Amino acid sequence: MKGDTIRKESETSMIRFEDVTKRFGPKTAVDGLNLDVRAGELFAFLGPNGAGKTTSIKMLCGLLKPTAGLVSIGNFAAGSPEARAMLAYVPDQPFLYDKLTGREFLKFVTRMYGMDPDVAAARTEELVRLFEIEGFLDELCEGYSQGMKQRLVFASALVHDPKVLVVDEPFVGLDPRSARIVKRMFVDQARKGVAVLMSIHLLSIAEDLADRIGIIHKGRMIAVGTLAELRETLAHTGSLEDLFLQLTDELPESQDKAPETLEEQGPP
Amino acid sequence: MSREHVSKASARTGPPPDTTGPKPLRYLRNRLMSNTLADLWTNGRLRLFVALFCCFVFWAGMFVLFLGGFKFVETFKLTAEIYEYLFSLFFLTLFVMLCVSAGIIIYAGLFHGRESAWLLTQPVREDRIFAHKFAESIAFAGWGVMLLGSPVLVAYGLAVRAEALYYLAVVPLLAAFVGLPGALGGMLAVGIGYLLPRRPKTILAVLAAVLVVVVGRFVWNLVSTPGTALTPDWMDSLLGRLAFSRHPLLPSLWTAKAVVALGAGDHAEGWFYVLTIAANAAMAYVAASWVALRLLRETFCRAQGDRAGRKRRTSDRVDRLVHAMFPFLARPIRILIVKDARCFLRDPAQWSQFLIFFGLLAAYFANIRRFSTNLESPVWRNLVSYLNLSVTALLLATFTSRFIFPMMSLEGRNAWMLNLLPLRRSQILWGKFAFSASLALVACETLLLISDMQLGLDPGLIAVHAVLMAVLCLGLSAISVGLGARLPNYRESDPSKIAAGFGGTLNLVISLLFLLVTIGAVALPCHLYFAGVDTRAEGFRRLATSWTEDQFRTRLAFGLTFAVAVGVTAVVVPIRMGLEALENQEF
Repeated sequence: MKGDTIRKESETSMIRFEDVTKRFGPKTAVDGLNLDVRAGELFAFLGPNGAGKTTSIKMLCGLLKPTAGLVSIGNFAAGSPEARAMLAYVPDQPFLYDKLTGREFLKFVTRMYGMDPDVAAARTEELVRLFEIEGFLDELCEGYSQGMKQRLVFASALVHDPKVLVVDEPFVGLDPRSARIVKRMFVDQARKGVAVLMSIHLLSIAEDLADRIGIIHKGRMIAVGTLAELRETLAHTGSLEDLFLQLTDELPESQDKAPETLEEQGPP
Repeated sequence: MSREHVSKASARTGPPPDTTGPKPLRYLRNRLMSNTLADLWTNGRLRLFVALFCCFVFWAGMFVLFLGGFKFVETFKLTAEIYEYLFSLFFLTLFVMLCVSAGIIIYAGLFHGRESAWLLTQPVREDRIFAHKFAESIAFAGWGVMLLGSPVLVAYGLAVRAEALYYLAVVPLLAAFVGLPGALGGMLAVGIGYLLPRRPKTILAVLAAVLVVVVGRFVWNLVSTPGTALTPDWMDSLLGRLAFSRHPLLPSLWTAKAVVALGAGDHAEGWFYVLTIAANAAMAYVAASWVALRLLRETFCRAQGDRAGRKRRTSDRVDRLVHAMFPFLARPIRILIVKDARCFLRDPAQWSQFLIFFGLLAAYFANIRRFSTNLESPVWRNLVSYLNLSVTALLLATFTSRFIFPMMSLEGRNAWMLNLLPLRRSQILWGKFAFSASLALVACETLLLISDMQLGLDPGLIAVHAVLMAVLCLGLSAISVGLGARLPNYRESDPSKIAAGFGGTLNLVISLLFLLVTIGAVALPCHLYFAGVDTRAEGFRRLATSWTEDQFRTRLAFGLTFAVAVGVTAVVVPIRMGLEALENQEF
């Protein structure tokens, strides 16, 4: 699914970073980040290890507070109860309770969101089918493989119909079949109007799925736009991988601040 | 959407609405407990029974000990005030321990656990997350207090012939007592995390140092009480020095008063104090919950921020020391020991406990002559020397069970890397053994020498004790390392949970049996001989023998040989089991 269709669906900005900086002591992890992700948009966050992706995501989820700037979900400051009610977050290392069964975990999550039991049961069944987890749903989570855990966590994240889906490295540990299910799910969620922000290292998936791509390097957003826009602005004709490497590896230190034209363009 | 818009939308007076309520987290705890018990019943029945048996033995031992103690005190027809002193001190110690342990458990659970990070992204209010972690810590603490406190209180009830209602009142009394330090500890955990997010380990070390100073001062006060022990003047002076434990605002005094009043059948006063403690516990919980509601998320953010980019200075002193200490070991093993030594030094939970307990013992042993005037008596001197040896060995057994046993399990998580190194698997195990045994030998032999020299023991007996202690250090290390490899838990990353599991429990039980047999084999002939030699030892007449010195030496040599043989078995068998298990282990 590509940009134009999505942009028509909604112009509501669901995720917003405004001049956000995060420092850990002397180290600046995120430096003046500006970003808008709209309802129905699938945004891929790219960057080398330690670039500031996970820090940005944690600020969005209210697990870290920005040193400066504002992070919001919908109209609400990140971390506020209203923002959390709209949010679904899937971390890179999914958390599950070892001594709960998958079904109990889903039930617990639906109760946390105060869902009506009948609605919760119907939604749970739908997601169980979607992620093909019925085979092990009544076993304790401690026996699950990484892929099984990841699928259950996705199901739990979507069970309350979130408005914003934030995913950190979603394809770690997934077999090809599971990866396909997850990819399809991302597209479906975006079609339903959910703002999806995923941090990812697999450039081919970003290339295939994302409406827009943001490349973050040393805490600064050095490029934002659709793949076509990135190519056009940088006068690049190669793959996203070449583009990514050009921006993050080969640019001298002085050029790390990125092509300002792209930053200033903001979201299309 | 403007910045102003967002801040206005999020502006709120008062706390956020409690949309979820307590039910979901209660459901979670119930399911977790029920599934854990069912799993234990299905897959770990032996572990369950061993744990229950150990608890029973511990409970019965405590009960018998305290029943004897209380009956002894009853023969003096002392006033209730003496009991209040005793219980005030007992509950004050428990109170401090509970406060610290609840604080540590809640801090670790809230700010270092993945569960709280996940819960903070869910629509659950911060005070509910605090309540969830508080309930967990209270469950841990409550279990410990019941195990430690109930035999004491039941024994007291029997000694003073309390009514049946006394035993019924003890349960809510202990429950209320646990809640108060738990809530204070939780509030401290959030407050310290908020104010000093970058220094949790420094705070732990400072806390440990303060504890050592306070306990040291207390012990010093006790041992420097003037006068002859157990005389009325001495008793008056001693009670005066313990007066701090009877401050009217201390909950430990309220608990002590409740126990004594209920034991005497004064239910009105007893229940007054029970309810006072309960009301204060409830108030403390409300205050802690209020603090958590306002500060928990901010504290979590601060604690997270601390973790990025922390650098450690690498000193090569430890490396050089290890290489100098173990020149006879292969270099790869020495390098593994260097790694373990660094991990040990970087984990305050390990070195602070080691320092506190061994430091306190050293302080006690160094001042042992002040404790008693009976030390001129050979039988008492011998008895005290073996008690000191046993306490040191007991401490070592808990240390090896808590810290050495989990090492092989934790190493198994890095098996992919260790398997690729130019090392034999057996070398990993020998490295752990050398690390544990050397640390134990240095600490325990030093303590033993201090104790025996202060007691003025014969050099021959000191040598016997030194050999016995060496046997204990090597045996306990081998049991923990060997069983650690034989009964590993590669799923768990928390060493305390590994130590608390079946393997850890079995390790502790075997270690204690080993201590009993080994020390008994040497201590018994010594005691029987000195009871016969010492004409002043009235209390030991029944055990007196008429052995000559040569007969004693022969029997002692036999006992020591037996202890060494048990020690060799305790080294060879577990190490061999561990080596076999490690060689055949598939990771």
